[in-house]
Amino acid sequence: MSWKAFLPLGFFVALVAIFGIGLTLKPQELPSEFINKPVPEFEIENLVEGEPPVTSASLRGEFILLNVFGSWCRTCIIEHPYLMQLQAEEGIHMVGLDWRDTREAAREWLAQRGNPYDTIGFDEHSEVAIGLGVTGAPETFLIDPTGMIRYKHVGEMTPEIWHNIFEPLIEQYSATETTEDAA
Amino acid sequence: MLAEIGQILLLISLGLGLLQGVFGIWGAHRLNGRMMSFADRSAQVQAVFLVSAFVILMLLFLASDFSVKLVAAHSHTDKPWLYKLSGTWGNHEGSMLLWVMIVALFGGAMSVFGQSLPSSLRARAIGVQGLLGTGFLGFLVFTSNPFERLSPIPMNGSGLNPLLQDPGLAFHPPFLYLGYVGFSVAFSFAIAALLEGRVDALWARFVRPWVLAAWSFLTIGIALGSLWAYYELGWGGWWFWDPVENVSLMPWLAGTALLHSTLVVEKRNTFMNWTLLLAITTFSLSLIGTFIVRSGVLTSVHAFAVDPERGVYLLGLLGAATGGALVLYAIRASKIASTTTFDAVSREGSLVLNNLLLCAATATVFIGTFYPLIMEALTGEKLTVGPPFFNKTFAPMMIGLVLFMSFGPLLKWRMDDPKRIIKPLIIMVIAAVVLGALTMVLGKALWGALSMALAMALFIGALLSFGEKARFGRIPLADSFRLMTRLPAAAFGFLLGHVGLAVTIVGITGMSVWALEDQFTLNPGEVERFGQYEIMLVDVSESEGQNYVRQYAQLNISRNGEEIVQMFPERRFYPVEQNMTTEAELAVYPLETLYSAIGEITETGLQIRFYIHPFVSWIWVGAIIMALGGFISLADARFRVKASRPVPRAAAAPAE
Repeated sequence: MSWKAFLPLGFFVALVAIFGIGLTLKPQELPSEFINKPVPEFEIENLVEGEPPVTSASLRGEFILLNVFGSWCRTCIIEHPYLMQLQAEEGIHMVGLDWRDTREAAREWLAQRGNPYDTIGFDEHSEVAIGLGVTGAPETFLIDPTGMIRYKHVGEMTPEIWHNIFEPLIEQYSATETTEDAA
Repeated sequence: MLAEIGQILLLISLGLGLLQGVFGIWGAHRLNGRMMSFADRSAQVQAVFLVSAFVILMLLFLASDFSVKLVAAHSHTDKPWLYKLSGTWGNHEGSMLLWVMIVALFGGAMSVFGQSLPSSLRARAIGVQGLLGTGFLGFLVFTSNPFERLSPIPMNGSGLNPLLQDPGLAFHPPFLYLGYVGFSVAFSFAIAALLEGRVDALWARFVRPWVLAAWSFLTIGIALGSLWAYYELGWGGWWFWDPVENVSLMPWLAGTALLHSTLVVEKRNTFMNWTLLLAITTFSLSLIGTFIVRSGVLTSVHAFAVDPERGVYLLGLLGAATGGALVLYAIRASKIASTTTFDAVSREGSLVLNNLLLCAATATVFIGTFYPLIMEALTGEKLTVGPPFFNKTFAPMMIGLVLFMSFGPLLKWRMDDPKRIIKPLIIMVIAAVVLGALTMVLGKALWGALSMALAMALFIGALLSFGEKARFGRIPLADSFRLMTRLPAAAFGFLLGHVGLAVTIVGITGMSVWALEDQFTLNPGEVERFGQYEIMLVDVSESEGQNYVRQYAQLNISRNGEEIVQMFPERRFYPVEQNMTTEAELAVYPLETLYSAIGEITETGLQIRFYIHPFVSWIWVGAIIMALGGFISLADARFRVKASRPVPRAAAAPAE
C-alpha cells in the first residue's frame, strides 16, 4: 500500500466537501449580504443603441423585477411567456439584463417572443452580472421602490414562485412603506 | 391500476437489487455457487421488471392518464404522440426511472454476456452493479416517485410547451443516459477487479466493448444536444460551454482516455492501475453530471426542477459509490502490478500522452465548470467563467492531442525506432502543409490554416496506419485488399473514430474562423449581395397552419447570377399561447450551410438574417462517423471472450 494510492481519494473527499458546502449555499437564495441592501451601483449600455444607459439609480420609484436573461439560455425561453403574462396582467415593471449575448441575437429573440421589459441593459462582459452575484440565467431580483434588493430567485420564474414569494414580499414592503409614510 | 403495478415493480426491484449486491459480492467472497447464481438471476429479473415499469410509465403518458401526478404535470392531450412519449423522460422523475432502467439493463446484459467469465469476477461485478442500481432506485422511490397519484384528477395536463417539442430534444436524453450509465459497467468491473486483486487481458477484453458502446452513445447524445442548440437557438452557436454541456463533455473525454487505456491493458498487460482509476473516474464524472443538473448546486440552463433534498441524497450516493471505490483502490491498487515495460517511443508511449492530454483536458473543463462553486465555497465570492477561458486552455490541449493522434498509431507496441515512421511522417506533413497553404490562400486566416492542416495530418495519419495493417505497399495490392477485408472490426473502428474527429475539426474550424452573418431589410423584388450570393426577396405570404398563422418569405438565392436554391424561412404566431416562433430555413451543402430567418416587417422592408456557415454540418457528420466507428468495433471477434481460462499471459497480447 503506498500513499500515492490515496491521492485520488483525498482529492475526491475535498471535492465532496465543496459540493456539500455548495448545497448549503443554496444558490436559489441570494447570499444574505445582498438582501436588504441597495442595488450595487452600475451603469451599463442599453441593448438598443442610442437609448440612454441603464443605471442602478434608474431602478427606483416602483417595485421592479430585474431579470437576467440571454438569447442562449434555454430556461429563459421557458420562463419568457410567464414574464410576458406577468407584465400584461400584473403591470409589474421589469428591467432586463441581457447577459453574455450579442445585440442582434437578443433583439431577434425579443422580437420573436415579445418584450416585457421597460428597458434592457446589455451586459456582454458580465460587468453588472458579477456585481450582482449572478450565477446563471435566468435570475430575477425583486427591487423595492427605494432601490433595495428584497429577493433573488435563481432559475425559471413560475406562477408558484410569483404567488408564494414575490407577491407576499411586495405586499410586506409596500405595507411598511405606507406605515412609514403615515408616520 | 397500471401505476400501482409500476410502483410494485419498483419496490420489488429495489429489494432484488439489494440482494443482488449482497449475494453477488458475499457469494464471490465465499465462493458460494448458489449465492452467485442467485445474483445472476436477480440481475436478469430486475432488468425485465424495470423495463416493464418504464413501459408502464410510457403507456400512462400515451394514454394521458392525468390521475398520475407526473403525467398531469408534464403532458397534454393536444400533444402529438411522439412528444407524449418523450414526455416520459422529459422530466426529473421519468428520466431517473430511465436511468435506473438502463443501470438494470446493463446489469442483466452483464449477466447474459458474461457467462464465459470466471464466475467470481462476474458475480462481484453484478453485485456492484446491483448496489449502484439500488442507490438510484432508493432515490427514485423515496424522493421522486414517478407513479404518484393525483387527486382531484385534472381535466387536462399542463405540459404543452411548443418549444420543447423537438425531435432533437426528444431523443437527446436517452442517448446521453445510455452513455453515462454505460460507463457503470466499467466501474463495476473495476471494483470487481480490485476485490479479486487482478486485472488481465481477459478483463480488458470483456470491459472494452461496454466502454465502446457507452462512448458511442454518449457521442451521439452530445452531438444531438449541440445540433438542437444550433438550429433551434442557433444564431451561429453550437457549443456554449454551459455547465450542463460541460458535465456531459467530461465523461466523454475521460471515457475516450479509458477506451485507449483498456486497449493497452488488453494488448500489453500494463496501465492496469491507471485503467481502474480511469474507469472509476469516468463513471464518477457521469454521477457528478447527474448531481449537478439535479441538485441546483450549479445553476445554469438546467432543465429540471431543483430540490435541495435530492441534492443531499445524490451527494450521498456519489460519496458512497466513488468514495467507496477510491478507498478500495487505495488499499488494493498495489496488489495489481503491471508486468511489462515499454519504451517512450512506442504505441504505449503515445497512448500515455493521449491519456495525459485527455485527462488534462477533462481537468480543464472541470476547473472551468466548478471554479465559481469552489471560490464561493471558500471565499463567498461570486464569479463566472466564460467561453474565453475554455478557448484559451482547452483548445491548445486539443491541438496537442490531435498532433499526437496523427502519428501515434503508426508506432509499434513496446518499442519502436523513430526512423521507421519517417516516410509516413513526410507524407503527412506534405499533405498537411499543402492543405494549410491552400487554406491560407483561400481563407486568409492563420488559425484556420493551422487547424485545417492539423485535421489533414490526423486524416492521413489514420489512413496510413490503417493501410499499414493491411500491408498496403508491402505486398501486392490485391493481396492487401484481401487482407483488409479480413482485418478485425476494431481496425475499421479505429479508422472511423480518428477520421470522424478530423471531420469534426474541419467543421469547428469553419464555424470558428469563417462564419459570416448579415442583417438587412428587403422589399419584394429587391436584392442583397452577401459574400458570393445574391439574395432576392420574391414575396411575403401568409397561410394558416394547424394551430398557428404563418408568415413566410420566398428568398431566391443565386451565386454568380445563377439561381441555386429557394428558401422559405417563416414566422409562426400561435394565437392560443400568444407566442411567436421563428422557423429558420437551412440549405445544407457539403461545404457550407446557408441559414436564413425573417423578422418583422418595417417601413424599409422585411428584416432578414442570413448566415453563411462553412463546413458546419461536418461537426455532426464527424460525430456520427466517430460513433459508428465505436459500434463497428463492437463486432470485433476478439471481444467474444472464450470460455477457456486461464488465458496465458504471453498469449494475452496477440501479435499485431
